[in-house]
Amino acid sequence: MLPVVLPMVLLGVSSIVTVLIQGLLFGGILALIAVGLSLIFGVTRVLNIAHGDFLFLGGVVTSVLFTRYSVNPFLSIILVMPIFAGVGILFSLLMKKPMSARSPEIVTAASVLVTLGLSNVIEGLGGTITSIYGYPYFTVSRFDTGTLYVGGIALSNLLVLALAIIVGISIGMTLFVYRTNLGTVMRAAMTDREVAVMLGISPFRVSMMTFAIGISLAALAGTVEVMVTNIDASVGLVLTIQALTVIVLGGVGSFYGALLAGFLIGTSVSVTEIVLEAVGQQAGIWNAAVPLVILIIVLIVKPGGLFRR
Amino acid sequence: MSWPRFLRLLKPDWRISPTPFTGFSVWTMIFLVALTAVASLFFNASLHDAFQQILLITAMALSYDVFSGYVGAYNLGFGAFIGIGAYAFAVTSNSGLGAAPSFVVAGLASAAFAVALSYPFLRLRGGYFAIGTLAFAVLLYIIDINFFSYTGGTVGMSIKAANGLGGPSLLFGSLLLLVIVMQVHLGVGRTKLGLALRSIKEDEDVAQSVGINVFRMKQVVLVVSAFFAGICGALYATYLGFVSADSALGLGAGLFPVAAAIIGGSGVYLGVIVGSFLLTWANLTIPGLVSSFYFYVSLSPLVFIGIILIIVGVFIPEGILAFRVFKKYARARPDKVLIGGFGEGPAVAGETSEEGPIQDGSARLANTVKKDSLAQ
Repeated sequence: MLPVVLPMVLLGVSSIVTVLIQGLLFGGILALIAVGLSLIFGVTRVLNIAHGDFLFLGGVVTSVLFTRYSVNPFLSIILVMPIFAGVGILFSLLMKKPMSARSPEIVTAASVLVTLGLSNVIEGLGGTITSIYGYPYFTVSRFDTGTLYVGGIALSNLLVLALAIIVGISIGMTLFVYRTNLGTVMRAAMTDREVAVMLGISPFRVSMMTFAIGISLAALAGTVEVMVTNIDASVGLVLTIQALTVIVLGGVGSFYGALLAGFLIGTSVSVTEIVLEAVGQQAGIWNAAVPLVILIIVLIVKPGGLFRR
Repeated sequence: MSWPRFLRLLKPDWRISPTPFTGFSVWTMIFLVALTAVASLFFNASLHDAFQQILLITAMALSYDVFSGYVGAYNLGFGAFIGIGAYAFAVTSNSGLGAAPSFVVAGLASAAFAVALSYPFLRLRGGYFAIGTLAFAVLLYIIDINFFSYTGGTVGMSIKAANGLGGPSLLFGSLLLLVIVMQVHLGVGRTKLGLALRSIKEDEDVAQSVGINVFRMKQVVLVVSAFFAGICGALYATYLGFVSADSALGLGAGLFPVAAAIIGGSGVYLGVIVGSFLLTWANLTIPGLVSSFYFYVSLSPLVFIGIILIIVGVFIPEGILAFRVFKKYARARPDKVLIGGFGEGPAVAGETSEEGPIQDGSARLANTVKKDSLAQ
């Protein structure tokens, strides 16, 4: 019980609840990226290394909309998601030739090259965009929504709303993937591509749709991320790797697995932070390392992932 | 595996590769030596510096390819080996050991690290292996930054031995390393080990069922790759004069040789050399070229590397050497080229008896119709 009681005494209940909600939020963001990444990988066999960079771009668009045109970040979701669905379609056009290479190994090689290149381009251009923007990082810091009091615990409205949005989108995505026709087509292409093509599914149209959905989810995650923290161009690759962690943990191709593993990793990051703070360490610096440690342990102990498909 | 059996694996076999002069290896070595001599005699400081970098990156890319080119698994965490070597070199040479033993220590440290890493990671296949190694490299970077009181973090620590090792000695040292790595890369292909690795690359399950100890083969070649990567990292640290988290363990530093190897054509030494020459040269010149035309534009070199990667990935995903012309000559024997003349094309050594890393697509396709790249 010591790891639970000691932090409560030392840090106070309010800050612990805030840290936990931040963890859930971080986990939700990871889950959103990971769901997109997992769908794209499952349908097209493309390991999209640039996925985290689309999150960065989503955050940039939100931030610019807020600072230049004072669009409410929550409203800008309605703008950001269609824009990035279009970006996803363009991206799938770029990936059309690599995806249809003659053997799976060449598909992997080509997709690693193209997405790594795209990630580099976005990260490199990020510095230039940032210098045009004027700040060293992107933020919506002047956006304030006030504070909520639940049972004497002060919570930022922003955190709660962002969490609500993520949970809502997750539920919506689940319904889409499991209850609609298009979702069924996507799952069919994930399960067995050849048979799906034989049954009359156009592989390229499915890929296009998957890219549109995956990348708009990443951009949405970027919108949420920029609401709660500052982002800069270097965040992309790190988030991609953390999302890959989530995918491996959840089992490749598993939708529920990615969602659950995302929240699990987010929570464990915040729990680690609480424990380390209670012990007296500076905890924030280890946040990025926790998912990787979890990943390596899972890869060693249970390479198939925690949740079977 | 007992030692005599293991040593028999390393014996060259003429049936696997009919001649020691596989492809243009001698010509390539003569060309490299000549170029280095010209560089050290006539080049000005900036060109000399550029060539120094090219040699080091080429050596790194070749030592990456010793594992990944033969096994066919993307070792995206290759940067970790370079970083470990660089830090080991920094610590040992600063503690008073001479430079030459420190290079060996750097290689051995990296190799020991690879042995430890091989047990968990070599069980993974395809995409899982790439993800796991990449995650490990990032983890090392974070650890490095957070323990900055020991490692120096992003500020880094200086290498005192770097003052004595400058200019021509470093250049020829890198050349020597490059030639050795090239010979090792060729040598692996010439032995039974290489044959086993090629069969693992084609189909791991079949290779295992035939009786190949898949794990041990991969482990041997990973350790060799890590050993040379460690020495490369030590040389790179000497060249820079310091080690820092970003220069040694940063993702950009680690993925650059990997990208160079893939661009050139992973699995063939010539492809890797061509790819890393081109990519490093582009990385060094294009930003300056652009800013000389448009001086108000300041783009980071990442953008240009990214554009090159995208173009190569879309149009020639198998690497530059996949062009038909290169394919024909890459594995040719020089004497046959001379006798046969260029017009009718050289007789390709061992084209019928062996399936080299570059091979006909239809044969590979037949093997891998439904091979899931992430399947366990």
